[in-house]
Amino acid sequence: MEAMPMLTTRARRGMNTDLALTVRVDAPSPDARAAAEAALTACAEWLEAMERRFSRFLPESELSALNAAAGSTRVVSEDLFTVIALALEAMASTDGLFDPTVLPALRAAGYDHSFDQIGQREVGAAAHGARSAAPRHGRGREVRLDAARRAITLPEGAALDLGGIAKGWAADALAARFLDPFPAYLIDLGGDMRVRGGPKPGTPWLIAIEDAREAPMLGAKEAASSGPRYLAGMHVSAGAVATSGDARRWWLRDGRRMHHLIHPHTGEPVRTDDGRTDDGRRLVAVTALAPTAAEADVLAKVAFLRGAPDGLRWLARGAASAGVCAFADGSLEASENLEEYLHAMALSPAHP
Amino acid sequence: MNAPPPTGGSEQVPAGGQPAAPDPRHPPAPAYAPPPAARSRAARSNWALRLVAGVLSALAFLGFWQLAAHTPRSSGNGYAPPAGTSGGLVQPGSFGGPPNGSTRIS
Repeated sequence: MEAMPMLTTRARRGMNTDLALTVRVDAPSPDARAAAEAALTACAEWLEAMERRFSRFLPESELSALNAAAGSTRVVSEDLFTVIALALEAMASTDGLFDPTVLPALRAAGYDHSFDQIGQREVGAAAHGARSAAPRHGRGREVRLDAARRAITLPEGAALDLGGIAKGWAADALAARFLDPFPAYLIDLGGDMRVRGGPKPGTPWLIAIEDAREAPMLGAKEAASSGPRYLAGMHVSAGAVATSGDARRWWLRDGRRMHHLIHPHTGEPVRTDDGRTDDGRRLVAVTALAPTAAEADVLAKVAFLRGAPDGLRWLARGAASAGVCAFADGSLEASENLEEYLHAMALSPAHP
Repeated sequence: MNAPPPTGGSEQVPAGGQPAAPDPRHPPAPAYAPPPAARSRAARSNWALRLVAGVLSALAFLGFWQLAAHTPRSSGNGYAPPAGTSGGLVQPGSFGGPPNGSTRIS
């Protein structure tokens, strides 16, 4: 009798979000099961190490040390250098819509503790006092990278937040470093996903788009017994998926609703009540699909900032990405190339 | 200076540019016309050839169409738009069970 494929999943809390890793083994012998378990254990340990390296909320993290050393040159680890270089490339390629130097602006908006601590709560009025003369964002061009020495120089007063790309990069790294030997895997880091194959040979993964309008408070257990609601699903067998929007990561500052997506022109959280669509519907979230999770992570944020329908057209340019917009009235709009994109990714030789 | 020799065509045009008037003493030879019986055989032969060619073309077209219609769109990992998919999106009612994962605002 033909052996049934076996799925092994490891789920945990980390990086201030829910993480889940699934791998498929097609000939589930004891050795194969042990290899799957060992790989997932290695992934979990690696993710913990990456959180200690990249979290701006941990004073002892490598990123916090780099931010504290702004104005001087600091040699960093290969992974941190790689992610910062990726983030700066993304900033350049999106004309600053993606901005890793936005941390001072986030802090000014009240996002100076992890979302587990401030999520959808009042954080109090902004502190009074002399405001720093240094710009709070848009300083990517001032960051100096020395690849030969792996050295980074942040300008005085600048600080980096890698939350917009680190989870995506981590998903890609997990796929390449730990899960490549497996015929199929599904990496889910807080909704940033990287996949290959499906739950059984010849079947793609079914990835749902959550309804962000009813997202439970971050850090709390699911309140509804029925679980999350889904707007639609996609059959994805290769590449990555990520979603961005303003419906989840928000808090109150002096009674005013703030969220984590900073407008590159104003340095303030993007206004949530301006529609940002051509037809008056309020855009709630954008889901982006791309070959890598780091790209999808960036594209989702930038597409959201661009609004609808411009964000969708931008995602569909060049056929290297696709996307879906979700609106406050529950409607969805997919880029014209979504089906073609999913098909092309499935047939790509890089993604068996 | 002599006029260049004609390079082709059925009519020789003198240097003046106008065709010469026909010489009544040497009327042009009539165009060849096969006998009626031969014309009929040739016409039937052409018609038959055209019919055969047409049938073969139609068969080739049908054969290609059948092949294309039955050739799976997928290869490798077997991806093909599953039932209930429209424009790449699957309605929740067509999931057929819980999804394998979900993307959400990160």
